[in-house]
Amino acid sequence: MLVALSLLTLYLSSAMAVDSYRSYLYSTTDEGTLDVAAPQAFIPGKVYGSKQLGVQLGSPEDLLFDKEGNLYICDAKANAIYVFSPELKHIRTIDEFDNMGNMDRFSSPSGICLDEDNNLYVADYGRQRVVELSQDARALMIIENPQAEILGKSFVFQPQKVLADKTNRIFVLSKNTGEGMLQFTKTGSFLGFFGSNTVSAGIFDRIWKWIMTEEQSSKLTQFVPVEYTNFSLDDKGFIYAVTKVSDVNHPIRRLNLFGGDVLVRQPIDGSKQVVGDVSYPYAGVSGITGPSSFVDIASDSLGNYYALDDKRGRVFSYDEEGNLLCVFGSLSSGQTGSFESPSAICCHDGKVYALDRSTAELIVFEPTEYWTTMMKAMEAYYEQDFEKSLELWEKIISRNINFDLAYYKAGFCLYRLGQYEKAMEYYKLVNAREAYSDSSAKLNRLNLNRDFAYIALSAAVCALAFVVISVIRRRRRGKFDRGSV
Amino acid sequence: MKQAFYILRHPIYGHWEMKRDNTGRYTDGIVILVIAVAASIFNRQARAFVFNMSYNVPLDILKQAAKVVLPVMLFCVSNWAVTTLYDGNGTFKDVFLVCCYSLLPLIFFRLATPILSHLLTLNEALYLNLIDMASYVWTGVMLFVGIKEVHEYEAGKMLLTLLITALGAAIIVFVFLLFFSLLQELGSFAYSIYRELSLRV
Repeated sequence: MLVALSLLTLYLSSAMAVDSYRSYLYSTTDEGTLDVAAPQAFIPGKVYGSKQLGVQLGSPEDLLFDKEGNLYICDAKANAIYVFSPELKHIRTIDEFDNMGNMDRFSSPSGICLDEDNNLYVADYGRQRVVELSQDARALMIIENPQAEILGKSFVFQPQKVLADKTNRIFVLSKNTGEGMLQFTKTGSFLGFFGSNTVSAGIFDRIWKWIMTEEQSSKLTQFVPVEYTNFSLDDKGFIYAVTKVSDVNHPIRRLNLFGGDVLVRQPIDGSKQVVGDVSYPYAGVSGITGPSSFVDIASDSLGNYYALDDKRGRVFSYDEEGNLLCVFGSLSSGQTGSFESPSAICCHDGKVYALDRSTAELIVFEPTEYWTTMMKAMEAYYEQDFEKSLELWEKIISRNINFDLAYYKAGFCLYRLGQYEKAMEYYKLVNAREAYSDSSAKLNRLNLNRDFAYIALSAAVCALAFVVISVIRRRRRGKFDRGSV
Repeated sequence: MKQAFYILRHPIYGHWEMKRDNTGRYTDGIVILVIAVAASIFNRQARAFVFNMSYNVPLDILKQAAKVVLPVMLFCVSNWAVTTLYDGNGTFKDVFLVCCYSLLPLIFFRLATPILSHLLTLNEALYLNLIDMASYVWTGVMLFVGIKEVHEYEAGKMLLTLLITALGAAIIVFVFLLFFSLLQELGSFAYSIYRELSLRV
């Protein structure tokens, strides 16, 4: 099997144009969770440097696409926001704006976003403010130095990222703020924190608190700090947020309207984890140790999301249930198409766009045929076209025999198509006990329906035989009794 | 063997009769023990995928046999040692046979549950667990009654000796572990002396 596998990878790598990094997935086996080879899902198709883009990029920090497909790149070094046409030709530069009649400039802007009315929000990190600009570069509103009791006296407003959602709220990530995001109204007044960690006191905490004096318990940490590094809106209006702190259990979150984490962490391997790399060195010579540390996140129209890890320069893609779909990207200096210091990621038109602040490049990751097949399979799955989906998932299995999810999804398609025995076969391969049990229950019921006549008939025959035998016995005994008398 | 099935139906009288007439034979017990090992292997291998957590793990017959035989032997030795001190009338043979006979319900259920497991789904796992539980309870009752009869104990003394038996079993396990770890140490010590000598001389 190993030979077949390596042959398969060899075949795939020779078929693809670029194979610059190892593509892998995790699979749960008897020996624990192992990383197994997988076909390339995305390959760096084009790399746009200063030459190709027509502007001298300094330190690109954020990017986004508007509804017309224009690309906005926020450059912290050039203190400007560049706008490119859908063909990635430079259209204009926003480096100064009309602030109440005076011309004003940015200083190290590090985050941008667009709202429903196409107004541009800029997190002006150097000047400690968030600016809302109209398309003709007029300042509509400026958030500066928010005041509230909850913020405390020592609070310094250092906005790094900004987001405006569909309900006209503005979210700001401020540096060194452990309570979560800052939430503002459309007019710029501070509403409160959003997406903070909630602390639930366990039984031991309560016992401790009962023993401790007032003074001691007041010194206890009142909350577990969380510092989000970046966020983005998905199609349904939820906020995907990532944190960089490595010991947090949930580095990737999906926040609802009230700031609660609603990310589904139900991958089919039962691990209940969405954490990027599952196995990694804790110590090593390379210096890169420990879990993934995320700097940006983006989602596509199918509900899949892509989290960017700047520690190893990898992008992890998950589906809505938290199953790892693919890993791509690499960290190395000098090689075209790899990261040195990745800063932002964005999905547009099936491709993944990523920025690197160190090389000042825009890398466009283009999907391979393997990935587009998977996306088509998912689409068919959501449209309940299970026959088509099954065919596509089976095609994926033939490309990647170690892909647990493909077996599971193909199994589910078979289940919905009523081919329970084949579905059970697939479920068994990936140790999906519950799904297997569901299929077998359906199969049992079918068999029972089919064979019910025979079962009922044989039961009736048994009952009849029992009655006849007992009658005959009684008669014989009667004869015997009469004879003896 | 006929006696074994009689005891299954009449544990109190059956055990007492076995003791009175001295009809127990070691071969009976050993045969039952072998069947118990076979039943536990059958249970492990034939259980449906849904209820079988060791589905992908290769079978090790010796390990599986040890899982059945070792607890029985441990109980027998410990109980015999304790009851000899506490005026028990049973011999080692009696204790061993009681143990083996009380395995009978366990054997029957171990043979039946795999078949049942192919008909049930994960939602009905409760029934399977209930049946497993029932088999353990039945075995426990058989063991309790049997040991009580062969030693001619009252219930209170019986409970006390059972407690001490458990303690004794723990001590035996501890001593064995200690013994083997010391043996290992001794072995490695001897080996290092041999290496030292062979390198120098």
